[in-house]
Amino acid sequence: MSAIASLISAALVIMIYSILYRENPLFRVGEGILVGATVGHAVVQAIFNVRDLAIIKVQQGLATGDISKILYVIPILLGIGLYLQFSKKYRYVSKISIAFMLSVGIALSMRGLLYNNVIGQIKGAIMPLNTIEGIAYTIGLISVLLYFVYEEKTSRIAGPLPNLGRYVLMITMGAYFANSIMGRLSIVIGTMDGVLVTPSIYLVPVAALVIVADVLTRRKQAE
Amino acid sequence: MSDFIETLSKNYKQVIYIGLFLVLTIPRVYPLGLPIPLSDTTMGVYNQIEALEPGDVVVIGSSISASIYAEVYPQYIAVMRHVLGQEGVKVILVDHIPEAPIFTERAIEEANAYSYKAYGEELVHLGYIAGDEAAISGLCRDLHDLLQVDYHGTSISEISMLDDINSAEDFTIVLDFTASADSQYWLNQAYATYGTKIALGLTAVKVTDAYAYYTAGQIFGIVESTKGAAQYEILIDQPGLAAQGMDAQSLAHLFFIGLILVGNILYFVKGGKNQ
Repeated sequence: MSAIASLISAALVIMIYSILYRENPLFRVGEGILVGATVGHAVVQAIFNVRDLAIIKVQQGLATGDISKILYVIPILLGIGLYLQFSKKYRYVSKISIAFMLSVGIALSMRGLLYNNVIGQIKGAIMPLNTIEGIAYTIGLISVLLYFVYEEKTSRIAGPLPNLGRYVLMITMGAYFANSIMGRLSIVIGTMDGVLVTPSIYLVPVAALVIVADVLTRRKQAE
Repeated sequence: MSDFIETLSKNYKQVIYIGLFLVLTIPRVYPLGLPIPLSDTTMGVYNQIEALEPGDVVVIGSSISASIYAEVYPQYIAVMRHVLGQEGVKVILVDHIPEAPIFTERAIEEANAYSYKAYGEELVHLGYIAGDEAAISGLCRDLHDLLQVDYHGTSISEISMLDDINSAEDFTIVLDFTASADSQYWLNQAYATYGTKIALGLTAVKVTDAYAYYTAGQIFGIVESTKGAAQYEILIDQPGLAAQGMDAQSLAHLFFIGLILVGNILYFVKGGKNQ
């Protein structure tokens, strides 16, 4: 059974990677299976979540008379309201649900974001200048901040620091890009781990033969 | 020579694909055994887990989907193995996207979790909880109020290990494996509000952002992409797919550096901006 699962998985990986050769029906089939399976699974999970997080609570509330649990009917109604987005006549109802979701989201994240991304980062930026790392960090921080000061007098006083900030930013972007490459390669290596094992590896020469046959056929047709 | 350069310029995509395929597959057949140096970020996670004591509670969040499986799953399972090996530590598994429970269940099976911890007594899988930041907020505030059942449909009130665990104040550490915004949600809801210690297992693209939190001392560690997974496999003395893949990763990086050099040389050979 695991050999069959491994073969199916490897076949799908090869079908998806076939886009590197050219757009083809096998790629589209692989893509369709991936999207379909993901959406199908998400729908089932969503139904379970509505049942477990809301409907059961409302039922318990109705049985025991617990108002706090009966109130879970409100998010259910707000959720249904979202679907009125598709009705021209009642679209305004969906705006209530969207506004509620936005306000809850902003309210929930505001405190944490301020604490983590403003206060925490300022606290973290104050480093002791007794190590090379600390000195480099502080110079980098100040120079980048100065690069984004658009006031002429300050820029003049800062001398070469804003320019240094520009180079620090370039190095940071280089690090971002290098990390992106590392990530993409990790994905390729990880997926190839599933292909380069027996019996899946036998699909690789089959795929290569199909591509060679296609190249030859297309060349013949072009002549 | 000029013909060769011309052919290379016209078919550069094919050259890159074939070259990349070779540098990625050759080390699989002939492993080079290149050393894997350990980084402070990975050690931070390892040391914190080593310091856990019986009765401590570890929450492991996951947003692993098919798209980041290859990058994050190896670190997830390596860290899970380490946590499972800590005697008396309670483990709560929770998922932040609909796809994640599939991989969590797979990891439970692969890590042979039930041989280390009895389900319901020291290990529980809560499954996917919809609601993004609101769900994590609810979990941190009162998980008994938020949830009725676990992933397997067992009532939360019947799971004995959760009797003394109510909010994020009871979580010793949170480990989140993700490429999504839920790392920020955990920071906002668990760290900022309750001071719970947090570490992240991330895709390489997200690592640069997370360093800001690490440097500021807001997270105690980062497992960085496959590199971090390989380091973790070495640390727990269970080398797996990530450690095996590091040879290929190193060669591929050298290949890319070579491509950048060749590209620049060709640029100048062909006359730079003037051509």
